[in-house]
Amino acid sequence: MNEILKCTGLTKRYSNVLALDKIDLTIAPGKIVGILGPNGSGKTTLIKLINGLLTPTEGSVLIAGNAPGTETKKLVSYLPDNSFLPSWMTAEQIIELFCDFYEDFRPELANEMLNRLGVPKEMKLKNLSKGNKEKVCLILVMSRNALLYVLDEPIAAVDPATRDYVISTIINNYNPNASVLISTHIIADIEPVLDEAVFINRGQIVLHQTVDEIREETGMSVDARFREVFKW
Amino acid sequence: MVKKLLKYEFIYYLRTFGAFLPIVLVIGAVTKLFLFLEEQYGGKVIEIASGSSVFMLVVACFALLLLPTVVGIVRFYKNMYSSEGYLTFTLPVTNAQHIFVKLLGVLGCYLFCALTVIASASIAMAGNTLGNVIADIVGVIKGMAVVLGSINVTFICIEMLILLILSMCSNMLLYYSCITIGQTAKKNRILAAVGVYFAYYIITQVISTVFSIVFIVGGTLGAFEDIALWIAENYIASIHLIMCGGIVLSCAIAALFWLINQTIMKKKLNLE
Repeated sequence: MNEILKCTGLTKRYSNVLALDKIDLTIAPGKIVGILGPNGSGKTTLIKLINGLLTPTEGSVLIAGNAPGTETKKLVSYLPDNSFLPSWMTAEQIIELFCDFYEDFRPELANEMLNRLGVPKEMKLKNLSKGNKEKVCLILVMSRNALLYVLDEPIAAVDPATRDYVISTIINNYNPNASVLISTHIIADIEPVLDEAVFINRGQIVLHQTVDEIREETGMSVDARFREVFKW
Repeated sequence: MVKKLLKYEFIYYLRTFGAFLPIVLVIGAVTKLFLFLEEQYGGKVIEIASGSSVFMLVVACFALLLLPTVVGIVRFYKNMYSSEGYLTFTLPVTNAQHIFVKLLGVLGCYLFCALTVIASASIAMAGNTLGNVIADIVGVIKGMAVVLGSINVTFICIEMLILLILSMCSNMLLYYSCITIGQTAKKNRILAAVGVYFAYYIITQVISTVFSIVFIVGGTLGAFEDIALWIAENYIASIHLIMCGGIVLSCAIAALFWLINQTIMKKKLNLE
């Protein structure tokens, strides 16, 4: 397979607002790609389209050759930018839920990571601290042996120590044949693990290069290049 | 997948109001105890206590029969359109399966609650009263069988049961549609859902009023004399026709709301 994700002329319009404007994007297997852009640039809209939570106004999204649907949901592991797990359930129950619905879920890995972090599995999510809740979400998403991981702002609301843990969890647990899409505007922390960077602004891709290309061509880090491109 | 979804529906319902079921049974038993004491010993205090427990039992039974609808609506909103929706809509399950399971979950709850109410009432009336009630019900059915024929009574009962289930489904699908339409609003989604429900209510009231006026005016002018005559001559067939008409109408309404839910979930999903 040459590409895990292929967006062609992808457009999304919300009444008068053009959130994405004819985006063409291809992601090959085995890559960690940063979707980078300021707030309101269209990152989350792109991610929702990939996950089938929105329907494109024009254009298409293909995941492993299929349009978003039941089949692609088996392949994509998605971490939204908010707490998406039922708060009345315990981590143990949610692990069971993931086992029931995702064939690629690895419960032993999830249990091991939760144990290592000392997250109480028998406690309801609503009683966990915000940081622990976010850890549970990330651990569950990364415990799948998916083809494409889509992580929307995974480090936006965590402290620097947890941020390091999140990043190490991502790079240590994804399937090497899979790709990881990470949407963020905190670039410096995520930069060391990125293979490619996609800069997105006002619904358009303004740059899509490998991290090495950015560094070689401009002599700048991705973070510095981002600041230059999006300077007010 | 439907079985797995259903498992989590029932876990939710069980933890939400599972405790109410034994409580209602206990109220039934307490009511029976007071009624027994009243019968045996009498006295003002016991009379007041048994009256209160009967009142409590009636209220508890009504509450229990109402609960599946309320909890079903809350469950649908939270599971589909709050932050939980990000998980729900990314499970490898179709939207149709989600709606179907939500309906099945509520119907299952109705069944459990109805059985609990019957059991609780039976406990409260245990003895002669229960025997009399059962004898009355059997008497009514036997009377109907004499007038209509036992096959017709059986069919009418089956039609009534189907109509009841379909009406429950179309009602729940109406509530789901209101929530689904409401979530397309940018803010105040719950308020928008309530607004959609009232709009639907007003439209159905206007339509039924128009039909009533046509029927009354037509009746006054003698336009339905042939129909009235046919009904009088074929009253058994008329009952079947009304029941089957109700079933078809409920199916059509349910299908319309199902389609509204499906279309909006596919094309206009707007998670918080």
